[in-house]
Amino acid sequence: MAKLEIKHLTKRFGKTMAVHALNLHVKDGELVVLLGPSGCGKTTTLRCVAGLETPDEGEVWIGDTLANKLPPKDRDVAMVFQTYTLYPHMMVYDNLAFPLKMRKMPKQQIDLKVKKIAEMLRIKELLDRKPAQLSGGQQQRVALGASIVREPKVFLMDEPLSNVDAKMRTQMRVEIKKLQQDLNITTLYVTHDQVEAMTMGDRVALMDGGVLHQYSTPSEIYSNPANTFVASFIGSPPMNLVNCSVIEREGLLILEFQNWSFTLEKNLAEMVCENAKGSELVVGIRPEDLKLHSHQERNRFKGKIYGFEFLGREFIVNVEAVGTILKVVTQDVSGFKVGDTAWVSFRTDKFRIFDKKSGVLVL
Amino acid sequence: MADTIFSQRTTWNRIKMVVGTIRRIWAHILLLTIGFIVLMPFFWMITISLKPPALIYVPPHLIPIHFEWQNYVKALEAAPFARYYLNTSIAALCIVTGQLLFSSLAGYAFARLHFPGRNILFLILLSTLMVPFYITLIPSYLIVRILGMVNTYPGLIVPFLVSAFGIFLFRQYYIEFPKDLEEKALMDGCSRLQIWRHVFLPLSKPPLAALGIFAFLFAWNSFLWPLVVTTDPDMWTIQIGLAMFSGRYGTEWTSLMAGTTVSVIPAIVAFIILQKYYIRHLALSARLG
Repeated sequence: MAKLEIKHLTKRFGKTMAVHALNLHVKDGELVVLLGPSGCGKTTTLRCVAGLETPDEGEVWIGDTLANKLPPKDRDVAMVFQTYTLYPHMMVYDNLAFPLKMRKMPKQQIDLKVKKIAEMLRIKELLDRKPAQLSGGQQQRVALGASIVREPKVFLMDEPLSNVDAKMRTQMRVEIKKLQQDLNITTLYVTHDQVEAMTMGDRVALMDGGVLHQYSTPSEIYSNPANTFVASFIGSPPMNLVNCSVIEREGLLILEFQNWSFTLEKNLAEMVCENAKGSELVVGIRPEDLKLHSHQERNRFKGKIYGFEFLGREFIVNVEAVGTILKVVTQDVSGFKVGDTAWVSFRTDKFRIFDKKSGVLVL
Repeated sequence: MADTIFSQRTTWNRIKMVVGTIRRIWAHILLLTIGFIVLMPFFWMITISLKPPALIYVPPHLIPIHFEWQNYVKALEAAPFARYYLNTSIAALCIVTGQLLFSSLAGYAFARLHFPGRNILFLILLSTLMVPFYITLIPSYLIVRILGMVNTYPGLIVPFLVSAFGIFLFRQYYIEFPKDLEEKALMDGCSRLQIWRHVFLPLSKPPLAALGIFAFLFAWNSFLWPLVVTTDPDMWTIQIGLAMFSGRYGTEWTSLMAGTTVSVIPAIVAFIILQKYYIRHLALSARLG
């Protein structure tokens, strides 16, 4: 087991900057998820760690070894690809044994290791089958086994669940996480699925445009997004973002929305003044932190019900208010129908404020 | 109204069935005709090989009344056919092995390795396909003579160990391989040669079979090059041996046909064994093309 350190990693493809000055530290035994939309540079980062791409700048440290000049086979990393990638002409046993055979391990030792891994992953009865005879989930377990069998220092996973059906994905997420914890392997996991990221990662590195936007625990990323990109990417539905301007009146800081205003408390006002770069701000609030009411009270703003989305255990209510369409997650919509007026309240400890120009979190 | 629509549909389905049956009958007639045209020469060859010399020009005895098995004995005794068989077998085996090995290796290099001048080299290779064999016949003979390979197995084999067509075939096949497979093998500790040996080659049955059949048939049926490069009868191949039955004053047809029948057997057996993979290769090429 080893830590993984990425220092100032930069990779270009022609004129396109795929990864820009990335710094990432993965602790020994930690599972870090590289999350982001397609083309954000997460797979390129993974491939640079694996040795399948050569960085233009920067360093990759695996344990205490600078890996930049090492070929993939000498880095002691194992990779699970998106398409499972098993050798189709070999039986499952041979697929598991192949990496060990290439390292010239004695046959008996190979046999012991293969059977041990097969037992752990519950694929012992599949050893004499070919990959084409396996289901998607079985193939994924074999692919995992073929990577684990080498006992690598670092485990790299490139969207391993993207080709698996939704039901199997839920099951495999738990299995992969448990396996990683049991084996305590340092793991770098790439995905575009935030549910995978939030449920599996010890920490999440959210990337976009080759740049790292935030690197923290799932709860931290969810509660305190570093900027508007993080706020709008994480969460389903994502955080509501509403433009406003900030004005000072009689010594108080007031957030001016369309048809409504909100006075900030003194301590919050001080923080906003300190960190905000201009008078244009963006207020963010999670859908579950908004509530619908039938009558007006203090710190409630007026809205009009735009539509309902029924998800089984809850509703997403679309409310037209403060110049935008807000999403409110609630379990009770009794008394409301489309077109009705509703009064919306919010938890004052849960809203966030971002600078509109830079998008950076201010409060 | 519903009844009218239903009966119209039933009539239309019946018409479609009849048209389909007629189409299938025509397809069978066409295929049987082509099959007959292709197989007739073979049948004629075997028929003549089993007839007495006097009866070969006399129709309508398509099937011999008496089977003259002596024709075969006479043919095989007329010349050292066992030796010719041996020479041809050695040459064919070596040529097939060489072409499969080098074509697969070179095809892998052109398809998956990146080196300076790769594309230009490949174009040059392809351009050699446009040069007819007869143009290079004399220069090739001169080189073989300088190297002292006249009347030797190397003389028969070496010029045909590499095939531009074979390299092209494998290159096109390997280009379609998923990149992930190769990268996984790299991560598993394989060198490039090991990737070819453990991953690409085992998955190459269709092009191996296709090129194997081509190479074998070429080597087995080769006449001009062995004739040019061998003067010693002990080094002659089977095609040269068969040509001896045609003289200035006539042709011993029954012996020729008997010898030809025997010489054709290995080619037919090779095709029967490998046809499954050859057809799979054709189907793959059609799908990817």
